[in-house]
Amino acid sequence: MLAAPNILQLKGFFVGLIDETKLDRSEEKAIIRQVLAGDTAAYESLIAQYQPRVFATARKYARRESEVEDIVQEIFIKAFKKLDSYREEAPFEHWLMKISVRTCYDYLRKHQRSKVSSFSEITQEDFDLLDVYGEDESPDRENQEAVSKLVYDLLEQLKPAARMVITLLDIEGKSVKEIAKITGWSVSLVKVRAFRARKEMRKLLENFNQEQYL
Amino acid sequence: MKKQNDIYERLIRAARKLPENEQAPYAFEKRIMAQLRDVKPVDNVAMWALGLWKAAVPCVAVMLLITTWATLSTSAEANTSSESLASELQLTMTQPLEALEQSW
Repeated sequence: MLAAPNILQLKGFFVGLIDETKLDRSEEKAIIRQVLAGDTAAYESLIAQYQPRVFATARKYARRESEVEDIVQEIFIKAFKKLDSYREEAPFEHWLMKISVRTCYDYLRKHQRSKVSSFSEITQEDFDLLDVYGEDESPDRENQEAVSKLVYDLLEQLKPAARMVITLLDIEGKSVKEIAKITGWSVSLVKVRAFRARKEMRKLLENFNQEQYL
Repeated sequence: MKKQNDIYERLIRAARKLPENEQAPYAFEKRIMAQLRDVKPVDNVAMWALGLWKAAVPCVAVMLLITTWATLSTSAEANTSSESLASELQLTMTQPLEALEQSW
């Protein structure tokens, strides 16, 4: 029978050999306790485990790769500083995702870009692309990039709260309760913000002349 | 309104279909660990203890100032008041005798 630190050492040894090293909850707890006891180096395995998820989240809100890296770095440093407030009843991933989403929201609020770029830059072909991409079973990379840019351009026009709600509620398909937990907003506030966000988005879409298109 | 809803639906459908990019730069965790070298997890008890220790110095200084001021003012007051107290005592003690002398 191996003790928890031995298992972790073995796991650490294989990190370099195996691409995906998944930690189970008991291992995670052991690592967190180690970090809280002063073994900062143990935190590296938590970063390695969750950085893909955190990068994916940050890329939904920041476009430039340097900004994404800054956000991810901030998330992991915040999580490290607040690690003593983590309660072991809930999975660490959920706790980290809360920090991630809230950090992304702070980033959006700090970096509200000027909304000068508008629909004049988006062509009807782009909207055609939405249909093609939606139907296509295996869309090519070019279309994927174009749709990604279009979605990003549109979301960038929204206010931070509206963008956050649409991303979580409509794109990621999370429930209102889940969003309330993640963001720290009340359920009624999430509902109000969702209503306003959709209204804001429809107003944006109004500007595009679709008479010929539809 | 229906048109906007339609476009919105298409947009969301397409956005949902976009794959997540989970790619992380090579050895990114090492970069964070380098940043964390100087950062320690927040220990609330230690933070309070540090704050209280810092607050203790000005508190002691204020206490000493007040004590010194109180001591000095009391002793000065004591010097002046002790003389008047003696004369008042004398007056009080001799007053009935004087009254007695007058009545005779």
